[in-house]
Amino acid sequence: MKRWRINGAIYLGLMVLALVFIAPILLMVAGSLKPDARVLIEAGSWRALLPDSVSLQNYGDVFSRVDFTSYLLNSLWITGCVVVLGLIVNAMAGYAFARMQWRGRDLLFGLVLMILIIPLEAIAVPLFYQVTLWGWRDTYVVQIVPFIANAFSIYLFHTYFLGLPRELEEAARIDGAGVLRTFVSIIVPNARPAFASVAILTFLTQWGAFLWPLMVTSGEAVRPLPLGIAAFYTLPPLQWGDIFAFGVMMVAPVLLLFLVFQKWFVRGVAATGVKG
Amino acid sequence: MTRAAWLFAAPALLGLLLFVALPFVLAFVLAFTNLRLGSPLPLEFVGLEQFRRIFSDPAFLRALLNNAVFALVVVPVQTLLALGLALLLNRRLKGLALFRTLFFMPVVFPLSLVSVVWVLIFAPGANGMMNAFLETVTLGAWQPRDFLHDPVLALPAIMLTSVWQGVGFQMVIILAGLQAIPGELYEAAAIDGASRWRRFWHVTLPQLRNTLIFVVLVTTILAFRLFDQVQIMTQGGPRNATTTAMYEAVQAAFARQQVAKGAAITVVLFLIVLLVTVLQRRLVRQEREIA
Amino acid sequence: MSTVSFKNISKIFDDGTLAVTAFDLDIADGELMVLVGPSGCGKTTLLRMLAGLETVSSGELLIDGRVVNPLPPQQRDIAMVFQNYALYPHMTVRRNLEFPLRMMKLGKDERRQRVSEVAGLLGLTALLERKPRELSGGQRQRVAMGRAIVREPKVFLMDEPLSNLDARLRLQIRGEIAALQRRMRTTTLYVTHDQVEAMTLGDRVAVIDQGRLQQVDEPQNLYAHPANIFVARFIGSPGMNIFRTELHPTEDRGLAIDWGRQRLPLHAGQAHALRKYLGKTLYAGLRPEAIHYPDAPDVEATIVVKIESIEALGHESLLYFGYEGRMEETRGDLSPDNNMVSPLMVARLAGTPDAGAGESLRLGLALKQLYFFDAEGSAIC
Repeated sequence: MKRWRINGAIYLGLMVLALVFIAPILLMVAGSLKPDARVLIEAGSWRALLPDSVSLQNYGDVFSRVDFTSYLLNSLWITGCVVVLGLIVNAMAGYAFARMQWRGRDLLFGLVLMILIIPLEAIAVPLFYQVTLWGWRDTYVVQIVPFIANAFSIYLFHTYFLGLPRELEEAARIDGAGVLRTFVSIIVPNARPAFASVAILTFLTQWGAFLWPLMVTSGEAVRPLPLGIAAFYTLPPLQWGDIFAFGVMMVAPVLLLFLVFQKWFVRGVAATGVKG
Repeated sequence: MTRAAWLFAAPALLGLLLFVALPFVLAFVLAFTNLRLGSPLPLEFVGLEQFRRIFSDPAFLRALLNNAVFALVVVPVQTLLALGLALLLNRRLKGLALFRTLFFMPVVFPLSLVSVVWVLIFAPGANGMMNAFLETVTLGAWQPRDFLHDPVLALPAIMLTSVWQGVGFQMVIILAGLQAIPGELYEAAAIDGASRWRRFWHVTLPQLRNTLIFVVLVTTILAFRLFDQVQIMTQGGPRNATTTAMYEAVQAAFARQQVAKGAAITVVLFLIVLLVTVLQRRLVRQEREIA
Repeated sequence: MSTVSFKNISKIFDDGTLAVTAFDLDIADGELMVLVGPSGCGKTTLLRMLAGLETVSSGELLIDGRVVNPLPPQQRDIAMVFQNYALYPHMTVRRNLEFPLRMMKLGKDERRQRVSEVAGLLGLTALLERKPRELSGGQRQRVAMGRAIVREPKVFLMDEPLSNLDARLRLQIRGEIAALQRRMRTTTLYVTHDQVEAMTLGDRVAVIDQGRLQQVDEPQNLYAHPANIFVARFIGSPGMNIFRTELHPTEDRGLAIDWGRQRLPLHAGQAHALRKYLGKTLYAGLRPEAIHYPDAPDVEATIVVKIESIEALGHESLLYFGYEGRMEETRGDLSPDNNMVSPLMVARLAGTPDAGAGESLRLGLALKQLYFFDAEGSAIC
């Protein structure tokens, strides 16, 4: 009886909290489906959270007012490149640090761990100056290349590879596989959780990247979605329905991935907590 | 073996060298110059001039203060909230996975989008969602305010936005920490006659110590990196009420071409991050010595 | 057709540990050579050096007369069975077996052919599409064997391949390995810490201690003619009883030795070989199998002992006993690590003796079967 009451209280509390948490999301989704004018008028009532009429008008408006497709493709291309190239480059480095014997290894790994604590913000200005000198501004390259190598990804891979049984590699070597073949055929397939964690964390960071693209791009041609929504939000006339439609389309791919691979998202994030 | 290893590590090391180490060193160099993009003046070393300048710039001082206030409020609030959520979710009850999903969902939202959505939530007038909500819960005592243009309320509004987006991240980390605590510890404590509260105090918290320190570290550093929300929601205003170190750095380097000043600000930013990190390492090491 | 030679091999690890010292061993073509010794004796290091997984500090390693020191593992044409099997978790049994063949760049048909042969040989045919985690310990062990066999290497290396199995399976698979090796006649180096395994499997057995080869010989010879005290105590279950003693001339111009406070007369042959050790430190050894009840046929002397404990196995018993003067002789060091004398003596007796711990019992000794070792522990005659 008492236990039942406690559980009831927990569920009730969780429900209230959950409502607070998803209210902004409901506001966005509902708003994207109703006429622009109604969004503002209803914003102060519970009706803001419910789509009483369903129309895709706002979604059409997004495409006619800005080149959404361009923002989307830019985001997909930049994020995809950083994720894929980052997985390859950082996994190989993590493997070299975890499992190979070479001179300078421990010293360099120490440096990687020190680099780990430097946030992008702390180097954004000189990096901005650097790529300006190189004439890289307003390109895809400037949004991709600097973010491929990542100290935290190397660290995550390193930790994971250390946990794999050494005999696996030794067996592969004895079975006739060289270093590269051992890595590709034996190590990579057995390190899926590490690859998933790194892929997801990289993806989230890049998909949301705002500061850096803002600094290094000025033309619309190479700008990604986060700059797109910031620009769209300031584009007169201010039409909240359209903005929300833009937002829904912007977050939909991530949300879809999240709902499908939820387990890996959670593990990936939890993995960031193991350091220290 | 050494050659293969170098080939494996080289691409990543080259990337880190060119895009982290080099600009990092450059930051320290530039901060001591008068560099300004497109300026006709010759480049020269000006010593600590840039630092003297930023520390006598009221906007930058206000920015540091805002970062500090943000950290002082958001770190405890967000950590406690995340801890509370994690404790609520760390039990065997049906349907909790659904709640975990809901609380975590904002994490996958880009901050730019979150900022835009919350601009509408903080809309002025009685029709604004936050105003209407506060009016309802205070039974009509709340007078509608224009949050994002209010010198007192603008920063709290950004804090709330940030907590909403970020708390799920900390919650998941703490949840993982909770689940790593061996069940035997609780059983042993229960057999020793410890009450629920005592078990939390003497088992859960000490076992969670390193996780919590980590969460606090990350949130603190995040507070000093604050930028996206400010850029979109308030542009640092009103009257610098929401400006941040990073916002000032971007303004300097980008809007006013004062690269050297921007570099000096980011050097200060890095030193703060370093200080916080060293502090955290200290705390964690202490823990190991005791154990 | 392959031989293996260790020529004056030494191994010093980066941290300065001396793992192997001046090790010489020749393995004949088709021979099953067992390396046996206590843990940490260097036997696994030797195997890993031959595999190419550890570098050689000095000396030469030859396979088929060719120096392989600089070759990486994949160029040595060897196969290895690991203690924990090291099956590739993400591959089915079939893919595991195929992996070395793919590395040899064999065609699809040949791979199929060889895999199905080996699977048939090891009874794995029904398991080919399973993943390692769906297999029992014994099945995993067989897959590991199969992966080694399938590529028909010059040399098999086995690193304690049975130690992760329960006692019953260990016995069964030990028999299977022996039968398989006899059939294939592939040169094999087998590492174990278990002397029973070594004795039952090896064509020859190399006993190793503290990084040095102590003796290499056929199992029966190791038992009958141990080269030193270490081998004598390591081989046999339980190993030989060793005690410190002195020679004493007897009235009939023969020799006698002390065992504790008792004096045991020696045979003329023994006395002849030992005469030059008069007045020197000497160690004597007697296998548990040479200690009987007093009325047994080849008993030549009897002693009274105090029983410490009895392990009754049904058909026989192991009787552990001390003797007077034991404390002085071991200098108080009764730990099992005392590497010269046995802290406790043991006798292997038929049935169950009619006495219990703490009681005294008279035992008979077959003095013809006494062994003698000099002060350094090396066998005499």
